[in-house]
Amino acid sequence: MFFVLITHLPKAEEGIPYSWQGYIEVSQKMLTTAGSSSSGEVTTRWKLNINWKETNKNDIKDKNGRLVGQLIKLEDNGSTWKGTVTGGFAQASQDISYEGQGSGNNNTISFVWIYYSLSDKDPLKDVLPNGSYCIGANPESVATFNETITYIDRDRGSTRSSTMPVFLNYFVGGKNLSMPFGHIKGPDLAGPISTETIKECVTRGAQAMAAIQATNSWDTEARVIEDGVMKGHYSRTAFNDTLINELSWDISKVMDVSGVIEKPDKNWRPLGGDENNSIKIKAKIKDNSELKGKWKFTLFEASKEKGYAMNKGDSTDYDLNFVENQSDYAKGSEAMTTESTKAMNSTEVEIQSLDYGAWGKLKAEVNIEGTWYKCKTEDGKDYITIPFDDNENHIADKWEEKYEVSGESADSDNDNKPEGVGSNKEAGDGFTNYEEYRGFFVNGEWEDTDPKYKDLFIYDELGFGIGKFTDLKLQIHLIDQNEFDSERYVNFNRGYGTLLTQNGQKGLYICGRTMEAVYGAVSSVVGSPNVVDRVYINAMLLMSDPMNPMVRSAKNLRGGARESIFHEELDSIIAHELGHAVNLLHHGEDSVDRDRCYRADISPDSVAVTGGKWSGDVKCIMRYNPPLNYLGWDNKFYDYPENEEGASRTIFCDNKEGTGINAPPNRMDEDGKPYPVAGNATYGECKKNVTLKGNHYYGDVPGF
Amino acid sequence: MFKKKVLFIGIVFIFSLVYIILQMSSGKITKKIVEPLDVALYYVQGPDDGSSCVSVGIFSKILKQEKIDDQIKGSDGKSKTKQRDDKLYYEIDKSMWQDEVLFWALDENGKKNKIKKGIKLISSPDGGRLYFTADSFYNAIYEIENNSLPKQGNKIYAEVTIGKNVIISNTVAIPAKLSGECENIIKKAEVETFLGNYDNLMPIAEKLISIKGASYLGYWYKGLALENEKDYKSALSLFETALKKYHQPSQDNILYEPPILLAKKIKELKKITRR
Repeated sequence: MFFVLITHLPKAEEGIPYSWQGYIEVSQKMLTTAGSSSSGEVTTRWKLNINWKETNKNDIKDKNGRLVGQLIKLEDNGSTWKGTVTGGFAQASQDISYEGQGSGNNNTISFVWIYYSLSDKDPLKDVLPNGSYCIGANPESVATFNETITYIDRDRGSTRSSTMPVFLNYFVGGKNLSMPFGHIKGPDLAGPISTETIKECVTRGAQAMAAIQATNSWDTEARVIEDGVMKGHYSRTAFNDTLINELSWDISKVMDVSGVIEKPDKNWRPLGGDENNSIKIKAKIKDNSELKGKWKFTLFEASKEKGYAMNKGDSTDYDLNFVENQSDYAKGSEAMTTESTKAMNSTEVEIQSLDYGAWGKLKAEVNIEGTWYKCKTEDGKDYITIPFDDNENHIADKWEEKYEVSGESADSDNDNKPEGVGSNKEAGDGFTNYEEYRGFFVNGEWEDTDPKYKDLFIYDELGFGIGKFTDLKLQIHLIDQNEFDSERYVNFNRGYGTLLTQNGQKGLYICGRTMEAVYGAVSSVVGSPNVVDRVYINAMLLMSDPMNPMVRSAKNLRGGARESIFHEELDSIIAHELGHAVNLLHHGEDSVDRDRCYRADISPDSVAVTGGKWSGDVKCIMRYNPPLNYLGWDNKFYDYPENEEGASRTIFCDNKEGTGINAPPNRMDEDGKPYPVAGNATYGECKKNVTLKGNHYYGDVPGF
Repeated sequence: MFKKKVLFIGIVFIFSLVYIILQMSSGKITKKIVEPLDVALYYVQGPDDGSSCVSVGIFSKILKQEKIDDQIKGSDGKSKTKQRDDKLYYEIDKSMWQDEVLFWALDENGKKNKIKKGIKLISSPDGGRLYFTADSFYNAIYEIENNSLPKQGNKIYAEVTIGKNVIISNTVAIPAKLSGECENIIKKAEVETFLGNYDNLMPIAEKLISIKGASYLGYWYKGLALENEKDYKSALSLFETALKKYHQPSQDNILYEPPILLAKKIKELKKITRR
């Protein structure tokens, strides 16, 4: 005997999973008997959103062992249902009402089977045509909800109620093999079934069902799938027209394919410039290792930040791309897509990062038999973020975890370290979390910065360093000339996540200047880095002035020893001027009226007064080198003490208290000089007054 | 056959090893030190009809950064310091400052031209092994004729070749021409001071005093000239006069800083004259 495979038969044999999706609407109406004293009706309605999957596939073989067909069993796979009951009856002495509703998942069937004939000479052709199907819902196994029955006794005026379960109950395809699994032996229909068994089931089942159908008003038709769709409607009455069952259904066969796209490695973060890096993303067809399809990956919502770090590059192209010339992949027909050149069950695509702050989303689709199926992540999203970024703030989650800023937004600027440096009223350093994550080039090398630690970028054109400015413990970065722009903005490639409260954050610019009477200066005001234009150091100090005692004490005089050692005093001077550039004032102002300078040898510009420039903690860098004279508390001028008693100018003070020669109380020393020299500072508290962000002038400190 | 092959490879390996050790011990192969240095160009503008001067300094920004990182390291700080086992040094011939330091002019279009004439090396460190620490700074001073410099707004930079490394300095913009006689005299004084030509300062200082006696500058430079001549008493008097005249408005916030340098000179000279 010659068998021909019918082309529209199921693709299950090809390893393609199918499911059945659609709806069933069930209405069961109970009426009163005609002529009775009762009246009313009760209606139960069910709406089932069907999602069934194909499970068992049993071969049907004739007595010669030839395959003639397949019996397919379906199971619920996530259907949902809703049910309601409303109505009531009015009887002679009482009214009865029925109310209830319920909903749930699954439990829409007790069985569904389909028979597919695989032979044009099928011995079952007459009793079970190709595509026959049968659906049944047994009260014991399907959806239920409770209804409340209320009895109102009109004579006595009493009310009572009770609760009863309502069962889903319907049947489709009554003339087909009704209950095959109940008649076929063997565990869960394992192994082939003979055509004889099927015939017997059909015969016996039909007999059994005939009686049931008569009383249950179920479907009495033979049902056959047409064009891959189970569709139909019936209305049946029973029990002397007191029960009307109505059923509509429309359930289509769909390919049950889904893909999985894996999230990127959490430890990966994007790099840019010469360090550009890539990451491989995996995707596969879910729960099926044999099915193959064509793959398409799409990058979308990808960043186009200017440059490739906060202070490097100027490109505004996409920061993420597909790596070119990947095996089995070619550029897609749409922008930012790539498509596989062959069908695969699982795949891998490589994304290249061109920016240290690159971000984007990637979706994957697989095409099977002309239909694109979306891939989903384990948490149900149909895209992944690159890098791994569950809160989607464009900062890699791993980086946020490392610095414990996971709960903050990309534009947060909450640096609060080092402790005690800067006002409590204004945290931050002018660089947001995203900017610190994207990072900066410092002396030619990229680095990201700690979002909890205040950063300050300094371009030291002189090469003298920053001296004792390190006492503030700020995170200092010595940048190159091209690592801030002509306006000194360090984050000149700012864009996403930048601070909107200011127009960028500037670095400091230390440069040389020939000055005759002072060691250094800032221009044009004392203030925060955003307002101080230059930090000037008297370059002559080290480079050429052999008369300068500072240079004289260094090893390297011109034409002499080779190495210059930066003098401790120069280190203090540089730190002092840098202090002015982070908004630190002197400890006070000296205002000696020239008319009061009754002594001809005294210059008012070199006299210390109480609460003036030389007041406060004698170790503080913001006190300058000693003047020539001081005005004592007795209102007389004295030579400034040679020995300042512990003055070192090595630290930034954290209070206003005078120390050493400035320490209280008022007293006269042995040689008749009054102390303290300058007493407590008027300003002082230098650490607290450090201001890095915003525009602050002359010691104006947020919150004070 | 296989044993012979192994034996041959072993002999070649041993000979190679011995050769490398011998080469290293003879100094032909040394441990490679590739550490970027940095060049700082500092420009001192001279009078319009004279010369300007520049300092070309070599230092290591990396070492400075490492020192900074170490200094801020503490309970609150973090260090990025790499462990450095080797001292950083370069063998530098004294002639390098003459032969391997080139000056370039850069126009507004980014076109560069070598400055070929009018450059004179005034002073430089000796040759030999230069060790670099975070605090090292080696500089040479050059005099450059103003007519060799590019026009106002264009930039200059230095290119220093040390061994195989070519290091580019910062760029410096050439400032505008000076506005008058007084400014030219001041610039001349600055250049002479920078070049260490204190012997030339006296006539310049006296000219400055004669045309701008209210300024402290003439007295400052005259004080420097007298200090150089070891006439400390006169120098002290000049610096004291300068200090009294110092009180005058100035650009930037220079006024904000007290004239400590003057005070320091006075203190030192007082000590000397007391002796």
